[in-house]
Amino acid sequence: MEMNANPAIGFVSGGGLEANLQVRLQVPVGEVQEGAFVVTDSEQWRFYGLVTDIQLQALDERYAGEVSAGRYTPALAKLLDKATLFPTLAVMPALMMERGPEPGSPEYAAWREMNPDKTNPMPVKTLPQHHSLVRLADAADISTIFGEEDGKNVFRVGETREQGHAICLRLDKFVQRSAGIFGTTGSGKSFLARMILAGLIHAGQASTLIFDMHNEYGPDTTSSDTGKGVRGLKSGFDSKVRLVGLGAGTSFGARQPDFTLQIAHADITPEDVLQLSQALNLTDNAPVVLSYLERDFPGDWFTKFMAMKVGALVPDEETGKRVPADDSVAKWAQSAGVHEKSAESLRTKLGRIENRGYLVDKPASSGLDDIINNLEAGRHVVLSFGRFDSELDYLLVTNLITRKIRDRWEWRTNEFHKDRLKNPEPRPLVVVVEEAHKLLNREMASQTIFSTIAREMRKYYVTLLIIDQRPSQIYDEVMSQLGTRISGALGDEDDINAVLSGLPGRGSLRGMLAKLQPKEEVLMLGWGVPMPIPLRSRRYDDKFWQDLLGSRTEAPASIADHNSLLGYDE
Amino acid sequence: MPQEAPIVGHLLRASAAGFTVGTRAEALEALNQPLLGCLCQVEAQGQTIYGLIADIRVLDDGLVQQLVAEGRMGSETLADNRYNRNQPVEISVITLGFAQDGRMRPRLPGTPPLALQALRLCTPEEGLRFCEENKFAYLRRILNQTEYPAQEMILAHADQLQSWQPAGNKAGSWYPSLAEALIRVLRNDYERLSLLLDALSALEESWK
Repeated sequence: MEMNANPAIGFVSGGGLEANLQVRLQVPVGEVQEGAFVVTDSEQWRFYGLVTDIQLQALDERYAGEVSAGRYTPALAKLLDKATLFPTLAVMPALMMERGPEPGSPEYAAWREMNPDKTNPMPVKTLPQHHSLVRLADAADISTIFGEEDGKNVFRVGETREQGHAICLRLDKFVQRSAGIFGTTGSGKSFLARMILAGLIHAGQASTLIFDMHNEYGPDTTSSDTGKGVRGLKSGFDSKVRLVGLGAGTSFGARQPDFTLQIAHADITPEDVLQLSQALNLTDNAPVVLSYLERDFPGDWFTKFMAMKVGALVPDEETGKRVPADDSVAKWAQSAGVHEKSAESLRTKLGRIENRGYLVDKPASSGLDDIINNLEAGRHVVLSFGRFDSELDYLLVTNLITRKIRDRWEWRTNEFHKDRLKNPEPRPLVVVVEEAHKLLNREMASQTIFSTIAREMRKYYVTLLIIDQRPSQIYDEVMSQLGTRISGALGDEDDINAVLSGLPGRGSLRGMLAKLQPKEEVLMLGWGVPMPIPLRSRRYDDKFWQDLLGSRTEAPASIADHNSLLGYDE
Repeated sequence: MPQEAPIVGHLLRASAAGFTVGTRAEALEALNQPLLGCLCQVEAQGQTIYGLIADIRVLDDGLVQQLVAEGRMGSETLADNRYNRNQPVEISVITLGFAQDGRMRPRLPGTPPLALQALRLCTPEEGLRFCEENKFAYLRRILNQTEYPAQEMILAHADQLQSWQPAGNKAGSWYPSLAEALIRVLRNDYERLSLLLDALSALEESWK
């Protein structure tokens, strides 16, 4: 292994695996920042760690309590301070890798013969010796751990804060488990999400389905901070990305969708309705009523049920008393043996979704199937909610689409396992959910399909990418399933704790997360990265697109220019 | 050994850790300089032993006691007692190190100097060489003294080193090394170090 060329910044003076390493700093304290990635060589191991704390210490508190320059001559004061006041670092050891004997030594040749393959980093199991020198990691150290950008699978997310070395994310690993991107409003999480999605689309590691609540991902937009045009995924990847509008008439600004999504009443299942229990304030009897509806009107229960009238009465021909009309809910309830009031209550509450513009009896096109087919074909779908941006719409549509996806991907996976030669392996799918706390909060998580995906769908090739500013509002069980977590600045202590939940060393990482710059600094951690690392995120700008795609894309100066190029005049 | 190094006195008794020389009062007057804290050296079996003058004692005897008791202290009596008395002035020296085969060593010599050997003051060149080659490691021996005033010896020693600087110069290049060595030895004793640095600061100011 190559020797790190950086000068030593200090030496190991104590510590442990649990309590972090203590490093006596030998350079001015301002030269090292919290979160710095450091390496230590000791015997045959190279250790990789993260600076999680910096402390000012004194040999005797009285030395620190008095300004020596005010008491002694400058020469003596300087010498005294140097000898008695010193900074220390707390370094969280994260990984270690066998480096063998010193290169060039006879022992090294023998070791290399016994270890012909490249050694890999492993979780830290021992510690460097006392007085082992500590250095800032160099570019080679960082690429050893995080990989070297290859323009495809190993995607550069940003750079280290001190020395600007590239930090990469292995996208194939990233999509194997659900992931989360967090940060307060304005911390740049949407830009970061767009950037990672662009990397995923470019790498072709997975299909992505993006529930785009605010029309940020597909079309070009304008940055609220700079007023400059911001390229969307559609402009970057054109036919690889399909823009889908919910309901007729939904558009992406000046851009028309590739197709619209209208949902047939017949597509709504009792399960879809039950997942809206809280939003619709359904009673405890609703599941029973729904099951009887499905029994009596298989495949068409919603239309039939919504055609029934609530409270419709007619005079009985024999007795003259007013009785439920034939087309009333009560009449059906009596015949089905269901509690009348429960049925009427359900019918009334379902009225809230009956007239949503995207729910029709016979859709003009098969939007749902088109979405799934596109995803299976390796394309990417951005669904805009347009004017249907209420929580109820978001819940209903995301649940309904995702349920169908789950069914399809489960089936595909089972087929694949039955006959691997005949049936192709399902294409990994990442479902991107913005404002995730609306779907995955403690109350809703049990009602939505997303918690199931987070928990169980990994083996069916479906994972979530949740984007949110309030991770503390997301159900713990879902948070604990997130493999990779990328977090920008978070102000709330609960949010910080939520991002770190279930991770080792979270006590050490908490301070680091709390002190991220408000913009462009993120902490990347979790299963998908070899070790936690704070970084300055890459900028989502024209240069990003040029780096990603080469010269074939050249961002227009403005949205108007871009639309003009595409033939859309404002 | 430079020939011009003035003789302070001759050894009365010695050990590896230190020795005592005797001298006449007029010899001290002839030296015309304060002796406490001065670097000095004595030859011993192929070694040059270096030490620091830690104390100077004028001892009494029966005659002095009698003269003081009787109050008979005329000028002739005083002169006679100072210059013709049989009791020498005693100068105590603590050993700091030795030189052998041209190398300075900051530790005690294998054998002490013998009686009647001449004790000389160090010349500036020799003194500075001893200090700098040993990186003031011998300061620990001075500071560990309980019988003699360690702080005063250190200050006097520093003042002698400064006196060897060309006139008008600020503290010499040896000064940071001396201060660093002092701090290294005493940094775990805040109170003692603080007092010493207070005094050293005042001394440094006096050199300006």
